[in-house]
Amino acid sequence: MGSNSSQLEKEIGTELPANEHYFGLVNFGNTCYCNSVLQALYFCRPFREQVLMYKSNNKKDSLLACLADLFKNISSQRRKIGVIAPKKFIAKLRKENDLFDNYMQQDAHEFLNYLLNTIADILQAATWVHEIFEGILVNETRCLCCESVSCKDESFLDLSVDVEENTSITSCLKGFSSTETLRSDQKYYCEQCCGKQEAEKRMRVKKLPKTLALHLKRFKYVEDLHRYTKLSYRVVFPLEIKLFNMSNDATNPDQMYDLFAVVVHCGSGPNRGHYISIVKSHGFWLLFDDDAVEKIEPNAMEDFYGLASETYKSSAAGYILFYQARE
Amino acid sequence: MASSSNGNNQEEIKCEFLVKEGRYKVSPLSASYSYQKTTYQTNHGNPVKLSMVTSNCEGGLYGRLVYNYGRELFTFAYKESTRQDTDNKILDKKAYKSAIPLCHDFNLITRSPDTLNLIVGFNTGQMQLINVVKYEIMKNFNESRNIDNSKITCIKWIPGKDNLFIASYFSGNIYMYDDNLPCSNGPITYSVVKESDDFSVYTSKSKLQQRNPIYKWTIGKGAVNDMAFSPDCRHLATVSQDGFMRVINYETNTVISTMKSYFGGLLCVAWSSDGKCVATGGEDDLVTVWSFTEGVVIARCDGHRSWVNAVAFDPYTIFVTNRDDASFSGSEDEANVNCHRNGSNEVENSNVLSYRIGSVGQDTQFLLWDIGEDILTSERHRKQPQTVTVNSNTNSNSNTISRASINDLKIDGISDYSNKSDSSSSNNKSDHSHNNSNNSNNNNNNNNTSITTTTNNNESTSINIQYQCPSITEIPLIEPIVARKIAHERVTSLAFTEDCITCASQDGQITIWIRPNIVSTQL
Repeated sequence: MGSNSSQLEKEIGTELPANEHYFGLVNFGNTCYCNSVLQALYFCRPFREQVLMYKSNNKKDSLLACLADLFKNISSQRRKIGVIAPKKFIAKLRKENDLFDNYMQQDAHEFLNYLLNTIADILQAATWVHEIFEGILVNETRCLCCESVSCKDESFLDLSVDVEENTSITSCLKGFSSTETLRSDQKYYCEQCCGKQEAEKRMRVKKLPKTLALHLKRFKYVEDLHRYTKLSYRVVFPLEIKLFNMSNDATNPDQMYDLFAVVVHCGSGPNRGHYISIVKSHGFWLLFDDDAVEKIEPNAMEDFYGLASETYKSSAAGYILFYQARE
Repeated sequence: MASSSNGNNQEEIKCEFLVKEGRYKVSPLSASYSYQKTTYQTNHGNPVKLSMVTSNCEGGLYGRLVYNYGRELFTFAYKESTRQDTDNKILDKKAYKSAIPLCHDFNLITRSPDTLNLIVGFNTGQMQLINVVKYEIMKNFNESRNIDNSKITCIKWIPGKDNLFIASYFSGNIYMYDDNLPCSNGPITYSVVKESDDFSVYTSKSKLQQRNPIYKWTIGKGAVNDMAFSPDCRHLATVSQDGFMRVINYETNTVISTMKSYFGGLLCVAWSSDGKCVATGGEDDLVTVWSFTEGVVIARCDGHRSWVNAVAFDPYTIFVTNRDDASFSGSEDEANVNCHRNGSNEVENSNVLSYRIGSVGQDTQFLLWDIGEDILTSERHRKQPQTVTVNSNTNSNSNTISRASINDLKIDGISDYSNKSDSSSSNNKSDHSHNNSNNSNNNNNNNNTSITTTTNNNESTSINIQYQCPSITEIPLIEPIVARKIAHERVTSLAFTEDCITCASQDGQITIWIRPNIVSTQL
């Protein structure tokens, strides 16, 4: 641990940016799902800034207050590199939600979801969480009888996409917005026709979020096995991306996004294995593995795409991708 | 490991496809070229690349197919595989202990009955010259790795030259070598020929002794991923991890035009046989077709489900009409249009009505695209501000069109000529920072324009102006005419020859498609 941080200091010592801290987080028994997401969020600049500015006006410590304490603790360290135990935050998390109140491995995406929604609840009304993560999807349904199109807006904090073997995240997003036909018992009630009709449905992005969080649905329930299994498929993701699945009235269809964090799952299933995160900070990439932090080269990203071959079930694979809209 | 039951997306591998000129079928000989898995050797995740020589001389004496797999380099006798019986046996296998062969190229100029030179680039940055006829290793270059120790991404003989070749590196450098010269052993002292943020040229030439490398180029940011020479041997197109395609005149050491991917790095590049178009493939899952003469993106080909590893124009399937064929009216196509079977130079005096492009990718697919008349003659795209090259006295053809389009453009940074420079600036925001390394740090006068006058060569004064990448809504989006899953693994290489289309995939599988109307003695 100690030798690890001095190793990192050696590697980036001279180019260590002022006011930046790289602190590993101690694992309190399978809490890497939490550590990996916290690191990704810490290096989401607008999120960090808001959390650091948060002042609890309530005496009672909320989960957000605990998070703010943790972030303040990291950012006020005298040393630039080290390890911190997020004890209070984990204790609060376990107290607040039964799901996380055990020593089992949890789903990092569920935790991210829970955390963002909890923060939004604590803040109430329109919040900076929405400001940072919220986008709007438009659900377009076209009646195959009268051709009328109805549109319904839906907001999202992240997008969950299906994964397929040997694809890219771009292709997964196209799949997310592909057209689905509603027929037989799924028929759609058309207001124009005043009756149930066959229809085509698709979801496209209408308003882009500032931070785009993409969740790859790598855990799939297999009926025969009565459990979730991991899809270790190779899904490549570039360092910069634009979306192809924008609605026609979207404001900036050519918005560029830059990858800044990846939560990676290693191992064979949602309740086993390990989470780590890769984070971009000041032009270089760091790998946070609980209390260990190391510098990696951008081309090492290849190791986290997943493996094409079925024989490598326990591979490391990108699970949540965080992209930041380029100014 | 337990085998999985969820094979619902395991599409079947296809063995034939139908296009307008007929039916392509997989040659039954494909398997005999493929890597035979006898050991547990892994491929280290490196792409399998093909180099092929075919000749029409009787007996096909010099036909060779070479590919790398893992630490090995295989040489096969190769005649257009349909016209022969069983002469496709392996001729040579070289296994390397300390280095992995990654790319290779045949020298077509020095080829003779006892010489067929193959230059090979390795992951260690070293290079080796092999005479494939005698299976002899002739020479090594950069043996002590002092010139560059990153991996070699692409290696090519310079067309028309006996013994010059260039190698591009992961480091972002390109080096030119002369296979007659020895390599420097110690530290190399380069003198600057020219230097800019985006493109610098150095030479190690000294009066005392000529040594390799002759030239060193530093291009853009990040790795150079692929290179291709234009058919007229005057230009080199390079693609880089920074998302740029650059066309370099390698005689004058000048970047004459650039193009930016829609997003992400560019991985492969190819020229059309008439030298008028360049196609790239990359991390945006697109094949982007760019008009060299007009300096604009003319089409984006959308159909891959992952990154595009290799792209090539089919020089044998190109639909042309002769320029002096006045009867061409645009309606009766069959009468005037002939499917060109000879490729090469004959095309130059004709109007191309349609290009055929092939591409393969990480999605294990093989795709074919037709870039038709509607795209090639469209007026619309000329208004797209993209990349414009003004050549004062080079190619009259490109000159006129460039001039025409320049009126529609905001020329940012041309203030060196007229100080008012730009006006309308809707194009001037967002993507700029990534657009060009020139952009960010320099003072604004030099921003988007690099004006380069070659000193000892009177060829041209080039003004290279860069624009942000055109919007997705501005460029026609094309669908493939054929899309087939052809392998279990990423497809990494693609070659069009007269009778066949040959692909290689990461697991060492070679797939040979026989063109329509080729009688196979095997079938």
